Amino acid sequence: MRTRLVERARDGDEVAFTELVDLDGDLCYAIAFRILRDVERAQDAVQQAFLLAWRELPRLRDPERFSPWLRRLLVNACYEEHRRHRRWSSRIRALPIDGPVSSDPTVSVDDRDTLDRAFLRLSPRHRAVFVLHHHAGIPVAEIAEIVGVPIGTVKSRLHHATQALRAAIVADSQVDSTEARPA
Amino acid sequence: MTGPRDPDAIIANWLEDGPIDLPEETRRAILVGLRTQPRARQVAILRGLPIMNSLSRLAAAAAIVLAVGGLSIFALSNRNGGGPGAQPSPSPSLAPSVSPPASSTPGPLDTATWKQYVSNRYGFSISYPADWVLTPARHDWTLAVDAKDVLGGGADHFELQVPNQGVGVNAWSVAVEAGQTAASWLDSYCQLNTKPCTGIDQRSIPAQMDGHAGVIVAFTDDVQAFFLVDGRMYVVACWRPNDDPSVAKYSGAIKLVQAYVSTMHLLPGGPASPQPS
Repeated sequence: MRTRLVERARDGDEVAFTELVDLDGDLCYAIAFRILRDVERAQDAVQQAFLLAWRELPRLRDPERFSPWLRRLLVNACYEEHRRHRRWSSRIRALPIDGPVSSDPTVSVDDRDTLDRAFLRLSPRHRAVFVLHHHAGIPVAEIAEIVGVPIGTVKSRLHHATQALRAAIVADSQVDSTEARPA
Repeated sequence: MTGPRDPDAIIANWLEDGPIDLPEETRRAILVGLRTQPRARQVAILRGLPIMNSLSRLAAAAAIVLAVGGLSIFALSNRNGGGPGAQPSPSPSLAPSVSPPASSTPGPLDTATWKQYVSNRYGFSISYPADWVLTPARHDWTLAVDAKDVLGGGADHFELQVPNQGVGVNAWSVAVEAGQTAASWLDSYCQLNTKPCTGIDQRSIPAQMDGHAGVIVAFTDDVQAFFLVDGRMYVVACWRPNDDPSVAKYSGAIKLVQAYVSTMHLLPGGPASPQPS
C-alpha cells in the first residue's frame, strides 16, 4: 500500500503525499526533536524534509526505498537546522529544553538536565545515529545507509554517544553521593 | 538514600520523553508548501508521459542543437581516422556512434588537489575532490543486488555532503561473464539501474581510463562511465543528471565523471576479489 502511495505521489498526487505525511510525520518529528532537542527547530526540519521529498520524489527510482530515503532527507535537514541555529547562537541553549516536561517519574529532573547537557555536547552526527538506533529502532546497517557512512562508523558513533551519556549519569551520581555525605 | 542506578535504564527513559505527534500546524505548513514547491525533473520520459515546462523545452531544444553539432563534429573526426596513436576499443559495441551534448567549458576539471583512494577490492586507484567524503564499499558489487540499490554498499562511494545539494559518485568493478559483450552487460545493467536504455550509443561520449577505451553515457537522472578491460567492467557513476544545479560547480555531471575517470589507474595485481557478476 505504501509503495503504491509513493508511486502516486511520485506522479504528482498530492493526496497520496498527504497520506505519506500522515503515515511518517509522527516518527519523523519524534526523531527530529530528539536529535535537535528543540520543538520549533524539529518542526522546521520535518517541514524542510517533507517539502524536499515532494520536490525530489520524481527522482526516486525504487518506491520501496522511500522510508530510508526520507529519513536521510530528515537527518540532513536536522544537520542544516543545527548549523543554522549555531550561526546566530554561539552558545548552547539554556536548559531546560524547549519541550514537554517529562512524564516519566523514573527520570528525575536532575537526570534530564544532565542528559540534555551531555547530549547537546555531542555532534549532530553522533546524536542522529543514537536517536535512529535507540529511539527509532533502526538497524545499524540501515543507519549507515541513511547517514552515508560505513557500518563501522555508525557503531563507533553509537558507542561514543552511549559512553558520553553513561559517563554523565555516573558523574552526576557521584556528585550527588558526595553532596549527600555528612560533613 | 537511593539504591544503585542503572544508567542505561535512565537514558532509555529519558530518550522516550518528548513529543511523538507531528503538530497540526507543521502538517498544514507542509501541505500548503507542496503547491509552491517546484518539482524535480520528472522521469516521465521513462513512463511515456513527458511533462515539460517552458524551461524544459528550452533545455531540450538546446540539447538537440548540441547533439546535432556534436554528431557533425564526430562524423568529421571519424573521417580523419584514429591515427597510429589511437587506442583500439576493447568493446566495439560500446563505441559511440554519435556525440552527446558538448560540455559547457572547454577544459577538464583540475584534479591536482584531489585525494587519491586505492580500491584494492576493485583493483583501481581513483582520486576525488578534497572536500568530498569517501565511504569504501562494504561488499563486492553484484548485478543482482547492487544495480538496483546504489546506496547498498556495493560500490566505493564519494559524496559531497551539502544539504539538499549533495552529489554522490560511485565507483566499482565487476567481472563480466565469459562471452558476454559490453553492450549486453550494459543493457542488463541499465534495465535494473537507470533509464532510458535505448539509444545509448547516441548518448555516449568516448572516454579513456588508464589508456583503455570506453564510454560515458548521460542517462535521464545520472551520468555513468563504462570500461570493459580484460573481462572486467569498471564503472564510475554520478547520481545526478548532467544539468543538475548540484553539479553546476563542476560544469556538469559529465565533466565530473570525466575528471574522476581521468584520475583512475588499474592496479597491477587486479582486484582483490574478482567474481562473476
